[in-house]
Amino acid sequence: VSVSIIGVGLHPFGRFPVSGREMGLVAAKAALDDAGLTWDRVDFAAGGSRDGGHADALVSELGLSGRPFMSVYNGCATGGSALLAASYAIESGHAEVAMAIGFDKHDRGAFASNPADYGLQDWYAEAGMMVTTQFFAMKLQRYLHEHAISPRVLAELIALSLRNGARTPTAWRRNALSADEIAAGTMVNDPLTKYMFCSPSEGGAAIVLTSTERARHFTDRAVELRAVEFRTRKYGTFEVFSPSLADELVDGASVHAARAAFETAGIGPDDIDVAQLQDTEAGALLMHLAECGFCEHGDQERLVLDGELELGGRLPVNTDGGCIANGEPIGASGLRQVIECALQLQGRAGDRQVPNDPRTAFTHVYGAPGLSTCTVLSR
Amino acid sequence: MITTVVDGQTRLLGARCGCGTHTFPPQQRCPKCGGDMVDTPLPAEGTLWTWTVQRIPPKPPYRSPDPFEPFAVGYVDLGVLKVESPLRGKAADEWTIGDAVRLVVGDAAHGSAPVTFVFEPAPGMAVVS
Repeated sequence: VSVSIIGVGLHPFGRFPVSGREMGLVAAKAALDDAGLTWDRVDFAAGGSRDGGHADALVSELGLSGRPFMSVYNGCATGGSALLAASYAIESGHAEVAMAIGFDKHDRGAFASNPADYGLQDWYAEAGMMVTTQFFAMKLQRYLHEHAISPRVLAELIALSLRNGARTPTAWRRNALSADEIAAGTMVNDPLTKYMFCSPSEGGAAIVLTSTERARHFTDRAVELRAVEFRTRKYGTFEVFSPSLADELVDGASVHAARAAFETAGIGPDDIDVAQLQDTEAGALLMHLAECGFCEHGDQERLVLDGELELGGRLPVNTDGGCIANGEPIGASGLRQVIECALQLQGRAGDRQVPNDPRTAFTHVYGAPGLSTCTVLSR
Repeated sequence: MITTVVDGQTRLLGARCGCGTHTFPPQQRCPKCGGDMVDTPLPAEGTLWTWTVQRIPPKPPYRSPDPFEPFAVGYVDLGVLKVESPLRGKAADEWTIGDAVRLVVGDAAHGSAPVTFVFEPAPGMAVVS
């Protein structure tokens, strides 16, 4: 059974004087309104939040319908996992209408980590190595070295994200910065300056699904969810909080999730018109362009310099500014990407609408402890 | 225990599986195949595989010198695996991938960063890039 998106809803991303749960409710109501449905039509829902409370607590203000609501938590793939569960419910015939909901509310400087939670001993943190930004920088330094890439491209990628964010009303950071300003920012972990990281933030996102066959009864602008694929790390990948790495490294979860998504969808990276890629920091976006199959490793500089990733380029990327401009509320972040792709495919993306009349889109999430979810969408 | 003494020299203690996989610190079951692992001392010399500078004080329980000083940290390729470690003995931003380095453990490792082991330049070793 083919699955389609018939409604999307977003609570803006940023910092707000309301609870995470409230943001989830706003997003869920907006998605239902967009689909022209009410909550009592929803047969199955999956939702997730890391710091915003139990997702199934939403039902006390959506309507206690008695239907299954599954709370999921899966690190950075939480939104993707909710979408996967909702999509399975449609595919299997268990639900006619299903929803995926994600929301979160993180403090400034959230994601502090306790060594024991990761099976690590205190000495690792006492020595100053339990630092996520440090991991990103070390993985990136090696990547730049192996593929002879100039760190200048990092500032260019962030400038692109912020330009797109400035055009996105629901984004958090809406001030564009020049690549020079970004490169000259305070160095945090070489080669990454303070402007090159996304920050923990707040927001909500929700998506309504039904079968593609039924979708046309609800809306004339349904977007087909051609693939949702979720993969975890294999032995030998380079992940955060690793006191040691294998002698021979292998491709990360992103490579396998992207490949699987394209295989399921029956199209390839060259067929994609618009893409949202995980950009926890500039190096992640750089690497993910190649890991997802959009270019060869080391070829990213050419894509950036030729303007191919711009809104008017061949492959517009992170058209709403990505995590760099939106921050990363864990539960909502992956769903935001899917919603942005849906809006682009429907021609509803306003000032940031890509002009290439997009028919296909791709989303990619990657995060700790080494997992990735990718989707392929089309209209 | 993350160290062991071999011929009077303190080395990092890792684990080895019959399938050839090594880990540090040692663990009982292999991350690749799930098989039983046995403890094994790791090589004390290697080459720098990647690095960065930690310019902002890590959060507790980091044991910071007072005042905090930025320090270099990297992965050292020991052949059988790569070990993450603070780096000492050069200006923090002057490290290069491929630098030859050697292990310093215990009190001798207590320089600007109070940690139990560091790697420092190993002059005379062949430099591999």
